[in-house]
Amino acid sequence: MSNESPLSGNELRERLIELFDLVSQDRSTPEAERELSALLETNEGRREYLSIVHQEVLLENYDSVLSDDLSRDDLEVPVVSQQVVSASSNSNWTLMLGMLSLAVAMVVAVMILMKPAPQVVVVDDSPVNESVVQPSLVVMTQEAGAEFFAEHTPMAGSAMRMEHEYSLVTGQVELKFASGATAILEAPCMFEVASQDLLKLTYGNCSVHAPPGAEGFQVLTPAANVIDLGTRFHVQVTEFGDSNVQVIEGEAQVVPHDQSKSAEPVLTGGTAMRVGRREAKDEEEIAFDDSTYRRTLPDRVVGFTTSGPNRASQLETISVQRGGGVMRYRAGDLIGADVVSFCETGSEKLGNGNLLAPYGYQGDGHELALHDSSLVTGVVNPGGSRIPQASDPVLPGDGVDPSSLTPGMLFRFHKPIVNGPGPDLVVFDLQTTTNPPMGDAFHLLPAKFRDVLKPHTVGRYDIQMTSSAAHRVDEFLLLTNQFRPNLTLQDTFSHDLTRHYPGPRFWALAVGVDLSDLGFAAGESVQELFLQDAADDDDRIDPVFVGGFPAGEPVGLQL
Amino acid sequence: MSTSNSSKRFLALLMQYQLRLTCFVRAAIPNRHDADDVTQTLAATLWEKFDHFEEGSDFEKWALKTARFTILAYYRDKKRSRVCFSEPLVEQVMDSAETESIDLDERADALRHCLNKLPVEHREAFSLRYGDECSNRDAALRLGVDETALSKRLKKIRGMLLTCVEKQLAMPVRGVS
Repeated sequence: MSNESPLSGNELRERLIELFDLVSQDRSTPEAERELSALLETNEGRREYLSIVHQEVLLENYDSVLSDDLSRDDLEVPVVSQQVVSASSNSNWTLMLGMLSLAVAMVVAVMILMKPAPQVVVVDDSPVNESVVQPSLVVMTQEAGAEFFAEHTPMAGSAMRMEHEYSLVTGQVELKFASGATAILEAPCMFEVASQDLLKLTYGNCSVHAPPGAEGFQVLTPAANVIDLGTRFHVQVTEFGDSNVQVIEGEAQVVPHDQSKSAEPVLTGGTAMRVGRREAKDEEEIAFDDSTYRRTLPDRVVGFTTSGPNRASQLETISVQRGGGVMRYRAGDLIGADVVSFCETGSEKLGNGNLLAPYGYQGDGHELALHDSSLVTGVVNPGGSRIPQASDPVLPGDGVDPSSLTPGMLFRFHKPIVNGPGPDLVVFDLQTTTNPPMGDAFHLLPAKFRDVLKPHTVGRYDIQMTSSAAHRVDEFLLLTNQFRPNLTLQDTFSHDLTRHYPGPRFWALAVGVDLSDLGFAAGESVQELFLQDAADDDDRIDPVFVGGFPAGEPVGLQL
Repeated sequence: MSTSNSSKRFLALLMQYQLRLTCFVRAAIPNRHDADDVTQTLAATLWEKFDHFEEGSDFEKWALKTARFTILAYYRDKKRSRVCFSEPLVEQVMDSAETESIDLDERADALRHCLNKLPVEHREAFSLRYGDECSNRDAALRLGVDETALSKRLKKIRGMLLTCVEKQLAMPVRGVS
C-alpha cells in the first residue's frame, strides 16, 4: 500500500471534491470511481477525503446546523423548550425520532416508503432537568390523495407540526397519536394538532378510533370538547361551527364550551347529538348515521419502491390497500400485461413519439411492447377520446379501414386477473412538473362489452405529482418513427427510430383500478382491457407499467 | 428501564451522535441516496438492538460498530451491481473514520465562521444550494448566473472553506467574528 498520493495539496483536494460530487450525485463513471479509490489508498488521500465528507454533511444540514438562527447547540440534549428542527438530509434521524412511539416493525415498514420531511417538531413536556428529548409523537401514518392549502403534503410516516393549522383541501389523512388513538380527517377540513392527545377540529369531518389504553383522547371543536371514553366516534364541524357527534361504538363525553347550557352528556354507541353555537337549540339529539364514519382510508395504491442503475428504473415492490388491508407485492409477482394493439389517431405535435426506452437502447422497439418491470420503457401516447368508447373497440386487422380504428391500446394480461376486493390492477404513468399534477386522465374499458359492463374513467391518480410517494425516474429515450396518422403498433417499430433525450425530469405516478368499476362481478376473471387517453388536454398517458394483482395474499411481503 | 424511558434515553443518545454517524456512513458510501437509505436502516437497527446496549458503556463505539456491520451488509447486497469501493478499501475508510479524532461541533462553528466571511453573493449561493436544496441549475436561475460557472465557483469555494476551517481549527483561541 502506498502512502504517497499522486496528487497533493490543493490539486488533491480539488480532485477529491470533484470525484466525491460525481459519486454523491449518481453521475460517476467506473473510471471516476477507480480514480477515487486510488486516491483513498493513501493516508493523505483518506484524511483529505474525510474532511471533505465532514464539510459536505455539515453543509447538507445547512439549516439545522449552520444557519445563524439555529445553532448546533440547539440540537444537543438537553432540550428544554419547544423548538422546530428543520430537517433536510438530517431528517433520516429526526423522522426516526418522531416515530419511536410506534412499534419497531411499523417504523421499519414506514421507513421503506418515506423520504425526508420538511420539518419535525420536537417538544419537551418532561421536567427541564431530565435531560431528554421528547419528540412530537403525532405521526401522519397514511394519506390518500391528500393536498394541503399552501404547503406540501407531509410524508407518510412523518411527525405533524404542533399548533399549526392544516387546511386539507383534497383527500384524506390518518394521524396516529401517542396514546394509540387514530384520527382520519377528510377534506375539506381544517385542523390542528394541539397536543399529544388533543386534536383541534375547526371545520370538516374526523373519524376517531381510540383503542383500549387510549381513553381520554379529545377532539376540540368550536362548540364542544369531545372526550373519548374508549370508542369509535365521528365529529363533523359545520361552517357555522356546530358540532355533530356520532358515537359508533363505546362511549364519548361531550362537553359544550358554554357551561351554562346543560350537563356533559355521555353518548353511547348508536347515538348522536349536535352541539350548536347558535343562541337557540344549542344542543339536540340528531339521527344516528354511521355512514360518515371511516374505519380506514380508501383502498388504493399506497406506495412503491424502485431500484436501478441510478435511482428509479425498475419497479421492485408495490403496496396496495385491498379490502381495507395493506399488502405488498413484488413486481415480479404481479400479472404482467403486454400491449397487443395500439392506435394513435395522429398528431403532428406528438410526432408519433410512442416508445420509451432506457439509455443505450438499440433495438427496433418490439420488446418495448412486452411487459417488464421497468418504469422507463413502454408504448406511450396512445390515441384518446373525450367520450369513452362504450362498445367493442375496433382493432387493426385485415380489411379494417385504418380510419375506423378506435384510438387507444389493448393490453393482454399473461393470465386472467380476478376481480377481488379493492384495486385489481395498477397503471403507472410518467409525468413532469408541467403536466397535470393529478396524472394523465384515461378511460379503461372491457375489450368485449356486454350489458352490465361500462367504461371507467380515471381522473385522479392514487399517487400523484404532489404525493410524497411519487418517484422521480431515471432518464430515458423517446423513440419516434416517421409521422403517420392512424398509427398502429407495427408502425411504431423500426430499425430507423429517431432518438430523443427528453430534457425535463419525470416522475412515476400510479393508480389502482377496481374491475368492479367497469361492471365486472366479484370473482370474475378478465384477460384483456382497452385503455384510451381521456383527451382532456394536450398531454397523453404514458402507461409504462400495467400489472394485475394476483388472487390471494402475497407471500412473505404482507405488511 | 421502562419502554418509555428507554426510548427517551435512545432519542437523547441518537440526537447526540447523529452527525457523527451520518459522516461515518457517508464516508463509506459516498452516494448520497444510498447513504440515506443505509442511514435509515441503521437508525432502525440501533433502535431494534437498543435493548442489548449496556447502560453506561460507550454509545458512540457501539453505534459505530453497528454502522460498520450495516455498511458491510450494504456492500455485500450490492455485489451484483456496481459499488463505489472494494470491500478492503471500505474497511480502510471506516478504520480511518472511526479512529480519527473529530469534534463536529467545533468544525461546524469554524465552518459557520468561514461562511460568514464569504462575500454576500457567495453566501447566497450556498444558502440556495444547501439551505433550500436547490439544484445547481435552479440556484443559477435564481441568482441569474450561468449554471456551469456557478458549479465551478461552488467547488472552488468549498475548497477554500476547507482551508479556512483548518486554519480556524488550528488557532489556539478562535474568535467568532
